[in-house]
Amino acid sequence: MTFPSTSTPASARSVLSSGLATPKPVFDWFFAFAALSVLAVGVRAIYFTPVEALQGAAQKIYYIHVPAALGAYIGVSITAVMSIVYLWLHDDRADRAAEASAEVALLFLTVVLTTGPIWAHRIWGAWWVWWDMRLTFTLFLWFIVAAYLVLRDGIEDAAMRGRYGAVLAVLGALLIPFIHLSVYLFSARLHPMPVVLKPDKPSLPPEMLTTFLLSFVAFTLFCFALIRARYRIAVQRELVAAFEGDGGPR
Amino acid sequence: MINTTAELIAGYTVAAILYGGYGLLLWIRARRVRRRLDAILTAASSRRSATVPPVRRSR
Repeated sequence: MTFPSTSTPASARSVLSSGLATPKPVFDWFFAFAALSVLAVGVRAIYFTPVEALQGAAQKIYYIHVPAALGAYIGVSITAVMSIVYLWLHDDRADRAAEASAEVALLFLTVVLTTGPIWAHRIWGAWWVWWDMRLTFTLFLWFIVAAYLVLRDGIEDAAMRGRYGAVLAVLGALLIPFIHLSVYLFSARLHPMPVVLKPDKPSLPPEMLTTFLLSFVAFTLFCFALIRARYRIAVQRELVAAFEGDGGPR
Repeated sequence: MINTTAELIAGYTVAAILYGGYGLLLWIRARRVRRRLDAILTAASSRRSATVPPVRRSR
């Protein structure tokens, strides 16, 4: 796409000169591949993976619950790293990437917090227990990421929005190690010890381990595809805002 | 082994609704912003062609 060189506001010209002159498609082959990978892994988990002897079919929620949690960690970590980059270099691209990652992280956290209780209800006999710190810390992280997005939405000034959001994002990401290590740190818990992400060899049977690893790869790809799509929407919004001269990107 | 098929179906359905819903939201947002962008560019292009003087033909 070519953009007219005349009759454009100065802000739009600066956006165009910063390399945004050709907005890339939001949904492309990478997004389709990632979405199909997630679908394929779901089919493999449901139809081609053995049923666990004690928990029955509900254990298969594991193949979407844990990869979603890891995807949320990735999303929040990208938000934090991009926020540090923004605070350091004041590069708008980093701020845009941080916001896109946070929104996708909130989606993955919501999946974790909804699929987990469905599984727990039958296996633990309770939808939720507040004294399990992995549950409670994950809920806290959800609130922090939601607060980050609400905060950004409420601040008009772009520089202030980026700076305040970045500080909150970096502080919020500090919860991730506590969530992962909570099963080691707190004796009162319902979450089991890790069966894959641990210093020793994974204790899952080979077929289940293969499905889990494929699921992890598929959900990680999907996480990156969603972040990329959301980032590209933000680029186009910024371009529209620059042309309309309404005070900067949202 | 206990029968927990209902939990399996519920878990996967909820996840599909959440991921699918977010995908739909992104698609709607992308379409909306693209339309606005196209409208702006079309208007800017029209303004540009209106301000350019007509080419005088030489005999």
